[in-house]
Amino acid sequence: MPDSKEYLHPEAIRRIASMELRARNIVEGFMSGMHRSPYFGQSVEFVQHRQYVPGDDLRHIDWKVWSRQDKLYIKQYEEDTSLRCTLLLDASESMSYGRGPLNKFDYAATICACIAYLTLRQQDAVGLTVFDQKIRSRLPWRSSRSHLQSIFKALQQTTPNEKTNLTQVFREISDTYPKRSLMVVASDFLGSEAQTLKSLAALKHAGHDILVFHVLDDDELDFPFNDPTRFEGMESMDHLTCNPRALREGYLESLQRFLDRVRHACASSQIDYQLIRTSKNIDAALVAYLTSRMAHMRKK
Amino acid sequence: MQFLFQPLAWGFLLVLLPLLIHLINLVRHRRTQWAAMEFLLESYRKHRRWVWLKQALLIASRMLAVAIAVAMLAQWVSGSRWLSLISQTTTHHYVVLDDSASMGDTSSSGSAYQSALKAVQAIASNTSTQDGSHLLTVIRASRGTLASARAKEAQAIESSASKTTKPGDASPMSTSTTPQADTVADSLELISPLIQQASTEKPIVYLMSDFRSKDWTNATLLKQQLQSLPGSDLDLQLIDCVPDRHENLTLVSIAPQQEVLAAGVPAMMNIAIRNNGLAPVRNVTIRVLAVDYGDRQPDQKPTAPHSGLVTELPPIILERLEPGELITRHVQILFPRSGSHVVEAQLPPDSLMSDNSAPRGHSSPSCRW
Repeated sequence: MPDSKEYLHPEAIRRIASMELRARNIVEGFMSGMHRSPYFGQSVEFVQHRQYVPGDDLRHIDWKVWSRQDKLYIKQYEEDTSLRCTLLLDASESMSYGRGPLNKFDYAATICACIAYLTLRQQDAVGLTVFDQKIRSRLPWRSSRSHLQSIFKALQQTTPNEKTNLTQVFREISDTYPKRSLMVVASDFLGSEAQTLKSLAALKHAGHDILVFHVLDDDELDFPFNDPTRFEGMESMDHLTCNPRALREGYLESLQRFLDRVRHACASSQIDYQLIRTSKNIDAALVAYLTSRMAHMRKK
Repeated sequence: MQFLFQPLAWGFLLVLLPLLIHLINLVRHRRTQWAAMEFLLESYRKHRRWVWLKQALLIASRMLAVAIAVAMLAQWVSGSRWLSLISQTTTHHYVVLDDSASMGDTSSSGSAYQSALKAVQAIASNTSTQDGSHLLTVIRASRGTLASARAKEAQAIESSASKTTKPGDASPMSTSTTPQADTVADSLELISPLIQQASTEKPIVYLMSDFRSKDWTNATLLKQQLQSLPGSDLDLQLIDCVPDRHENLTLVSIAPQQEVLAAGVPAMMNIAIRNNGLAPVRNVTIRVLAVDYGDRQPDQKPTAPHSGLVTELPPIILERLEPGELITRHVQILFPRSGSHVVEAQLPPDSLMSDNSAPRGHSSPSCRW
C-alpha cells in the first residue's frame, strides 16, 4: 500500500499538472492518512453509507448494517454549510521565486486549490481573490461543485508579476466581503511590512477569522549561497554583488526578526499563523486550515 | 632572508594567488533574481565594514598560509625562537679552545688538547644530525690574545675566529698547544660582541680547558666575563679536558742572582719550582745541566739533546713540597771560558712534560752568557 504522505510531497505534486487532479490527490491522500480525524462533519443529519476503509474512525461504523450483512460501513453526516472561506492568494513577482520543485506561487496556489476542494467537499462556500498590488481576479463565495472548476481555472491562469501592496488589497477586501468569513491568506509578505500587518489587524477587527500561510522558499529561509553572486531585486531595482557567505549571518538575523515581527503581530491580533516552507509536505497547511475551520465553527 | 633551498623562494610569488582568486571571483559572479532583497541589503548595510574586514583578514590569512608553506618548503633560516616552527633556527656554537701549555697534559690516552680537538670534532659531527642550521666558531685562546692585543678591531676578531658551517672542517684540528700561559679570558672577551651582533642566533659557548686550580680558584675576571656573556638563552658548557687530577711539578724560573756574569767567576743560579698537584710530593730530584757552547759556532749534533759540552751538576733534592707551594733553590755554576752557555734544570717526568724542563725558546727560563 503506498504511503499517503508521498502524495503530499512537493516533488510528487509538481508531476501533476492539472490543479483539479492535484487538489483531489492531495486532499484524498491527506484524509485517508488521518487515523482519528476530528475534522469530519459532526452534525446529526445522515447523508449516506460508505464502505469502511482502514483508518476510519470506529465510532462511525454502522454496527446494525454489520450485524445484517457482515460488512463494515461508515455512516456519513451532512455538515453545516454556513462556513464561508475566502482564499487570498498573493500573485506578486516575488512569489515566483523558487529553486525547488514548486516555487512559492505554485505552492501557495496548490494550498488554495486543496483548501477549496476540501471546503467544497464539506459543503462549505469558498471564494478566491488573487492579488498583487491590486486585486487581479475575484471569485465570489459558492458552495456548488461546479465552482471548483472556476477556482482551478483561475489559479492555473494566473502568473505572478507586479509588486505587492497588501495594504491597499486588504482594504478593498474588507469592503468587498462585509460578512464574516474565514480568510486564508497565502503570501510571502515581502513588501511594506508594517502597513501590511496593520491591514491584517484591521481585517481581523472587521470580524473575519484569518489564517495566514507565510510561504517562503528554502533559499530565503536558509540562504545557502556560497559563490559570489549578484542579487537582483524581483520587485525593485535594487541589486547587490557580494560574497553571500559573508552576509549570511546578518541576512538570517534580519529575516528572523521579520518573521518574529509578523508572528508576533498575528498572535497579538489572534490571527492563526503558519510559516510554510516550499520544500515541506503540504499537509501542515491543511491541518492548520482544518484547525482554524473548527475554531471558526465553534465560535459560530 | 636566507633559505636552504633558495630556488624555492620563488614560490613566494604564490602569495598573490589568493588575491588573484578573489579578484577573479569578483568578476565571475552569477546572477540571481531575489525576492528578499530588503533583508540582504539590511545585512549589507549593517555589516559592510565587518564583512570587508573579515574578507581582508581571510585573504591575508590565506596569503600568510601560502607564505608559511613556501617558507617551510624552502627551509627558511631564521634566528627567532618564535618562528622556529616554520623556519630553521640557527644555532651558533662558539668553542673557546684553551691551547695553553698546560693543555699538553698527557695523563689520559692522549694530550688534553687532543681530547679537546676530539670534543670539537664530536660537536661538529653532532650538528650534522641535528635539525636546523648550525654555525661553528672555534677560537683558540692564544689567537684570541693576539687579536685582543690588536685593539680589538672587528677585522682582528674575524680573523681570529675560524668559522665553518661544514661539520668536519679540520682547520682547527691541525693545531697544537702553544707555550703561552692560560689566556681564556681574552677569548671570552672576543666572543661577547660576536654574540651580540648575531642576536637572532641561539648561542652555545663551549669552554674547553684543563681548568687548573691555579688559574680558576681566584679568577675573578674570568668569572665576571663568563657571567657577563650576552644572551638570555645562552648555553654555557664547560668541558674539562683533564678528567683526573694528579701530581704536577712546574719549573717556574731559572735565573742568575748576579746581573753581571764573567768567565772563571762562580755564579749563583736561582731555580724556582712549584707544586701544582693536589698532594704533597717528597724526595724530588732536580737535574741541573750546564752546557758550554764556547765562542765558536758548535758542530750540529741532530741526534743529541745538546750540541755543546754538557756538564751535569750535582742534583737538587727537595724533601717535601706542599700543594701550591713555591720553593727556590740556589746552584753555584762556574764556566771557565767565555762564550755561550746554557743552564738547564730538569724535573722528573710527569704527565705535563712542557713545564718540567727549560724550553729551547727565547722565553725559556734559561740563562745564557
